[in-house]
Amino acid sequence: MTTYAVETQGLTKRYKTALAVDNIDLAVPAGCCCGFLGKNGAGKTTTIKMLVGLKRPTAGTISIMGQQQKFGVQNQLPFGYLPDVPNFYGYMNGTEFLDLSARLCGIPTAQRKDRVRYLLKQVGLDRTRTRISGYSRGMKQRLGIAQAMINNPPVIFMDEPVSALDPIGRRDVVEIIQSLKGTTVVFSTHILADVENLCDYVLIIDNGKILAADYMANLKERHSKNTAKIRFYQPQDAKTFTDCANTELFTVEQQPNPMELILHSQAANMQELSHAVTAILQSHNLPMENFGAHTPHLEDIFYETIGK
Amino acid sequence: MRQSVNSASSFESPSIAPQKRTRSQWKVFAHKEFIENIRTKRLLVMLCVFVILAIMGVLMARFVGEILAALMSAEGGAPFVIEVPPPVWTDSYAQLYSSLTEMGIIALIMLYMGAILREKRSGTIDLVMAKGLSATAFVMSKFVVAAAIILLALFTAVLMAFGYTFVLFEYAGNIGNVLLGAVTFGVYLLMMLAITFLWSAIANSTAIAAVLGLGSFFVISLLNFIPVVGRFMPAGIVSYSVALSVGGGQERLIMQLVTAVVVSVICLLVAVQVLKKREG
Repeated sequence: MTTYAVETQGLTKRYKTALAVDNIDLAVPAGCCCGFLGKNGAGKTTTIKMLVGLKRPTAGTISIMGQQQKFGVQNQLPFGYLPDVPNFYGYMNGTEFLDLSARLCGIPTAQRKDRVRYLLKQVGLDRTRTRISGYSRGMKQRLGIAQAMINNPPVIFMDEPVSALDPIGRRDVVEIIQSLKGTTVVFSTHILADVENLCDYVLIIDNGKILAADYMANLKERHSKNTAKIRFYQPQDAKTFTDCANTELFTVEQQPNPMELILHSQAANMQELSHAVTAILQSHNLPMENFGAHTPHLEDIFYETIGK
Repeated sequence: MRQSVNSASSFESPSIAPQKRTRSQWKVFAHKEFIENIRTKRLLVMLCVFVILAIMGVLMARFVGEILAALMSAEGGAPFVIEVPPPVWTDSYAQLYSSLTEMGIIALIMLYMGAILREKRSGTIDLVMAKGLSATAFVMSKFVVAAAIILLALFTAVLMAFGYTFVLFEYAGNIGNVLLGAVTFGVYLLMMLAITFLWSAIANSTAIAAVLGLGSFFVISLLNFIPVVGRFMPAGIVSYSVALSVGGGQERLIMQLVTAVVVSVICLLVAVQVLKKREG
């Protein structure tokens, strides 16, 4: 039986003039890395802020690790939170801020120093002695991840953890997220490549509604069912094939590589598509390099899901 | 998909013992506030302002007559004569509390109008509240530390004034009375601090917080002049502080102290409610 780390029912956030989050039901499996995708203004940040208790839901319920969450009541701390632009007390150094976070979480004195030292080392700030006011954006983001993990929570929410970072800072943060084994990580982003590399579960939100929520593998399988890829030896052969493929069975999508084509089948299964392709190849004597089911990238799935 | 980067950087950390929220979160945050007041020099500035005002007040009390006389003679003789009574030790406390009521309270408002506002604007409040810190603990820890600093500055200033008055006038009154005057003035200062905190919780910009804080101070000072109502208004505490310091009476002081305490409590309660309803 699947255990869910984050569950919501009918979660809604309505502002005076807009419906930011529209009656969403989430069930994020425990232990997964969940990429939360959507355009700017789709409702990602609002949803995360409701989940961590920083925004009051207009309607709906939230459960994190089986605990019902209520706005303004946070008796237990089953999660860590990294805001999109984390700010800290600039007059402190990293050690002091993590120590403050640990004390607020009630971590016993005996474990506090070891935990702070351990986390600073993990995020690569153990040799930094400067005050936080002198930190770069990437360093602040890494400190933000460390503070979110201070009480070793089973769930961590991260709002756009890599969006504003340079390539090196982004790589550092991605590596840290990669190493969070066993922790449920929910992070919002619009960098699809990061989600594709890091996540095993995907949520796609648009206009406040969840349009897709499934494991990455399931999503790819579902979207690859009616799609095939064919590669020719010569660009001319690809062009000939395209010209001849005026059939009701499939449509042809051009690719940047002129020798490759993506075929979107209108047929019920791949076998029918295969027969139709073979017939065209034989009738025009077109040699091809390979032909097979096409696994779409997350980008394809995202655009298809939000209808762009 | 996720995988360990390498064994050295994986987060297979030693487990943390199950945590329960302690009741001492406000103490933890108060400790942070104390450090903040030291490192951001708020404590130092508060002390310096109050001590300078104390010294200036005593000097003014002692030498204002001589300064005026010197100015008039420098002009080649004034067309009229200003009779300045000879300075007495009680003038020191009148000058002290006059200065503290004006410049001291303005300094207080300027230093603490951002106490809550800064954390709202920077988002640091979200980080600490996401760790379970309550709005009450957040506001009260800030208030307690700021109050301690203000009272420290006040008593340092009053003791400086007492000593300096003794040096310049050879008598400075009864120390018990002087401290009693300081305690009553302290209640007034803490009320102004609570009002400043309220505006800091409500306002969305420093300028608005400053205008509201200074505006409140102005209104409270004006209310003191309204007949009948004025006798309950906290601004009257200032004159009683002077009277108590020099061994005078305390008629109607209790009502004004009670008003100040009630206003303080209401302001802090409203500030807590504002933060409880605030959305990040």
